[in-house]
Amino acid sequence: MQKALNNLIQKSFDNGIINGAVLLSKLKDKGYGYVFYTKFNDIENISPFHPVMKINGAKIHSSITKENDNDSKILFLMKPCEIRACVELKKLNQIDLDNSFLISYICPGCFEFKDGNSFENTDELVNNFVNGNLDDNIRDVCKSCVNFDGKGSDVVINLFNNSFVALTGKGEDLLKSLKIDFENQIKESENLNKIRKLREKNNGSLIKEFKKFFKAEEKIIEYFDKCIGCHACSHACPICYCRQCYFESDTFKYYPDSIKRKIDYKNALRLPFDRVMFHIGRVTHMATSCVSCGMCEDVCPVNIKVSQFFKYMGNNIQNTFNYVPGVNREEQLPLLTFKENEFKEFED
Amino acid sequence: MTNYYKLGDFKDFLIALLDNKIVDAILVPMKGLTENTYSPFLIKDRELLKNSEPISPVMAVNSARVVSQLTFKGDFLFKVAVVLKPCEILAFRELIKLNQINSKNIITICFDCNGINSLKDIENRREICEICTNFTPEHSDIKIFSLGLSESIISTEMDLKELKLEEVNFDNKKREEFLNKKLAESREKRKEKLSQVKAEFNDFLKNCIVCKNCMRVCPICFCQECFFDSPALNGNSITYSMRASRMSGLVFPENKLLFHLGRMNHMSVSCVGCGACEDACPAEIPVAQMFAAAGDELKSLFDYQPGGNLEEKIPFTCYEHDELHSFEQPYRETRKN
Repeated sequence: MQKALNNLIQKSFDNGIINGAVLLSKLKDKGYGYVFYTKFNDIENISPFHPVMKINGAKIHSSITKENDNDSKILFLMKPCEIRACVELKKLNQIDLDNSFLISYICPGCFEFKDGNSFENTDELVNNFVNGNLDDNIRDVCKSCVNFDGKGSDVVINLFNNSFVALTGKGEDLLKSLKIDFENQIKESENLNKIRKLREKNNGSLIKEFKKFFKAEEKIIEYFDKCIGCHACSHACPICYCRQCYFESDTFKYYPDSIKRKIDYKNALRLPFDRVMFHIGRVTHMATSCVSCGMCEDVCPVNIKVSQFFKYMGNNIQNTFNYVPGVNREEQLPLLTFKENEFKEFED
Repeated sequence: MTNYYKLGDFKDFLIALLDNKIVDAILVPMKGLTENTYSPFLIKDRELLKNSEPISPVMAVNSARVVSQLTFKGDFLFKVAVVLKPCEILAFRELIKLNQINSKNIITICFDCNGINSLKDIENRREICEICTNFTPEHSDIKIFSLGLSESIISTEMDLKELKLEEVNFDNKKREEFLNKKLAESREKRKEKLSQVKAEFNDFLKNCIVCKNCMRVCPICFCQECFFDSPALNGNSITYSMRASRMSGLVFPENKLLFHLGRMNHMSVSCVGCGACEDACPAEIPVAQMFAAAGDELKSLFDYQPGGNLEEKIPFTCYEHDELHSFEQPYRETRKN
């Protein structure tokens, strides 16, 4: 498949359809990471299906295309969750999608970045996946990922039958103009179905487990007990794009009289302030758009299962709004579609 | 005049401070809800203090940062005793110099520190603590001596008669001997370890994912907006393409080396070696040791000790036109070859 992919990239460069590509590659110094190439000849050792994510690719897309000049046409080959983050960021005006091609693949999952960086057997991992097995070492959040088929991108690589699938008109035009054969929808196969069932089951048990744990609201305090308030999760999150997070703003630096009132009322204050409040706030701000990429969990220095919590909360909230983040580019963000007459059941 | 008292139980001493109205609240680490979890708590209730762990085995957050959060907008309206580790008190004093802490109404309590464990792996002593050379309480109002002693001693200029502590005639000789030995050992270890870290500097950085969490937990990195998060480093597709074409492929996340060198440049002379950066690094890079290696040289160059004399200016704020010529190189010489 990688040959066909190389061919696609080469032809795109040669025909002037793109003048840049962001691809996961084996790095010269150590490990794997995204590299932005502007010439086909520069490309060496790409490893597009490598199970590592050191930074969510949507963040890279955003840095390159946020201030767009309408001149550069760039191809991004990324994991499905990164593509979905791109689509969400497009809706949040942080990305220009008009001049970029989003290519993804049916994803076998991803390791924690420390393990993935030194992993070398990608072919074996992909083979194993195509045979209908999930790797034991992929992250929990990947094991229970149900949006792993690359919806939201222009072109998806179906690893199960080694074909390109065009999901948008743009993807179709690209493949047609390059004279590359393609399909119009992801062909179902026994092994793909097996993987889907497996992941849906894992997702079901994750949600069930969390529902049991969070039967009382204050359980959230216990869940984030280890939190040191470093906010690494929000800074690694592709959706948390705010330059200045509200929870790091002046609002949360309290005046002396306010601190006196707090301690008089509570007798003891756990510090730093607002550790749990921060997570609740972040849920309300971004859980509708959470793509469960797992970066928050990977960077957490005290190993809190942040991503799984957001997956659970996101699942609840997204179901309420009947919204799947990053899949449909035309659908508006739930926070933008307020109607006066809705959700009476949540009102007091 | 320095008074010496027998400490007895650290917690009882803190409770006595509260009971005798020497202070109204105490900032001290306490266990959280789950196992092996500790956070600093500001406590007003004497009963709650019984559960505190003044000498906690980990540092969830540098308490100087917490004091800064509490007093940034003004002095405490009540008297507070803060229990700090030696590295935390240096950060505390450095933050006073940097105008991030209002220190009125604060009494500092510091103790002989035997090192603490890693936040990720509570069984293991942190490497940065093994090579620490600032393990004694130098600048606090109340000092607690324990290294090399059979029982802990309170040393203070304050008058604590009301607490009815047992006064002792303290002879520091035994402790001094112990400290000198420990210091010599640590210095030796530090020299060896840091030269090793220096040699592997580039190797360590290869694992960095530029999450900048080291900067976010650093007590000295107080800037509301870091220069390296600012739009100053933003590009657009044209500038990124130019860089990518020049370098035959631009690796993301970018500005990895620039960020670390920049941070080193900005704060390593004030680095207190608390190790919070290393604890918070998801890639397990020995950040604190890298900063110690750079910091040690800078500090001896400027003859500056962070958290030392409050009157002494931070090297950045006392630029002189005629100094450090040995580091200068005229532009034409740099470009000669």
